[in-house]
Amino acid sequence: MESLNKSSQSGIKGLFASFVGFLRKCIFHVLSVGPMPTHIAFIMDGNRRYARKKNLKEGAGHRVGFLAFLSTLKYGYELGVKYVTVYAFSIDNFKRRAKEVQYVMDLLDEKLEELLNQKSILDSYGVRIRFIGNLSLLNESTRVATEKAMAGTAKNDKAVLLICLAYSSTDEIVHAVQEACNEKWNKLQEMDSNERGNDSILATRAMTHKECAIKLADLERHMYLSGVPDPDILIRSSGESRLSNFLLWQTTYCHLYSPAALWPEISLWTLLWAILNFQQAEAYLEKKKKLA
Amino acid sequence: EDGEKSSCLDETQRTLEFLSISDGKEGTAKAASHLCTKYLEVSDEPTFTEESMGEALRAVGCGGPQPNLLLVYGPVRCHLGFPAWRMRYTVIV
Repeated sequence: MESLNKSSQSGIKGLFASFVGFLRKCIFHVLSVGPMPTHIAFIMDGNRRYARKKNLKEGAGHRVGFLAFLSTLKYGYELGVKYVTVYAFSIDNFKRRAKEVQYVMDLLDEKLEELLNQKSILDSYGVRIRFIGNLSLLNESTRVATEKAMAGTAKNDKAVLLICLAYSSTDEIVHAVQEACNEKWNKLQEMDSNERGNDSILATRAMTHKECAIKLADLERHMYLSGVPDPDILIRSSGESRLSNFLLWQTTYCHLYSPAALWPEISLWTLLWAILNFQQAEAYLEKKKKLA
Repeated sequence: EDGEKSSCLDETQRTLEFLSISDGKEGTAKAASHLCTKYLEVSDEPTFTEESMGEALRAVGCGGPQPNLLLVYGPVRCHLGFPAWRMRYTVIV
């Protein structure tokens, strides 16, 4: 009798889950009639506040936040979003207490291992993982974990998950400027002995200034997110409306959305609402892009 | 940096600055060209920092204080290319 009750309960749960899944597909289908974003970026803010709000121990908010990250990722890829970028750890975050920084790094190592072992979301949606940022600032074990994750998903080609780690926009811009300048100097050195030997000093200086002119395309080529379309929507949870040095270069025509929910509280409805807002804004943003 | 601070804090002077889209990414490219030319004759290739980038932006006329608040008037909340270097922690409404 008891086993009959248990099996009927699990049957009802399964039926309910199937119905919810069917309803979700219907909603996604209706939403897809309008313009859909190709790239959504997330600032996953509010994990610590969530832990304090729920009286959890320090660091527990990040664990719950990871579950919210997985479900958001799944919904995004189900909706056909090809690129998802998340701000996992800023260069500024290294200033936090050493214990918290270490906790986040250990959590990242653990969750990357889990993601690669399960392979459920990554393989079913064909997701390739890329890490963006000044990865030389990471400790050895985290760097190894990131390399393993990138190598493990290198063959996936349907969608991309960009995880910004030890990242800031200003660092990205400086890196791009450095690379562009190094490129110019190397080219000038190659030309030096052959073409400039017989020129007058003035002609040499004039040529040098012209050759040192760095174009926008040179910087774009050396940005960490080079080759990735700019984000269509940037969602920052917990109601904050700053970009906090995240994707400042790439968000010229990006719809900025700041729901009040803390990151672990983020739900499917937040994502749907963000996309509806984007659909209303899309025509205006496309017009602005064409005028530029 | 000191020049920027004094213009921010000087209560007797108000500054009205007009920016356009060319002050954003193209301004950064100009600052990059400035750095490239400045260090051309140096034998060891320098490593740029955020400080040197900030100085280069000021040298090409694209420096300036970071607004605390960016008010966007229009149907969409989008910064439309406001200079990246100046809105790192700006609240965008």
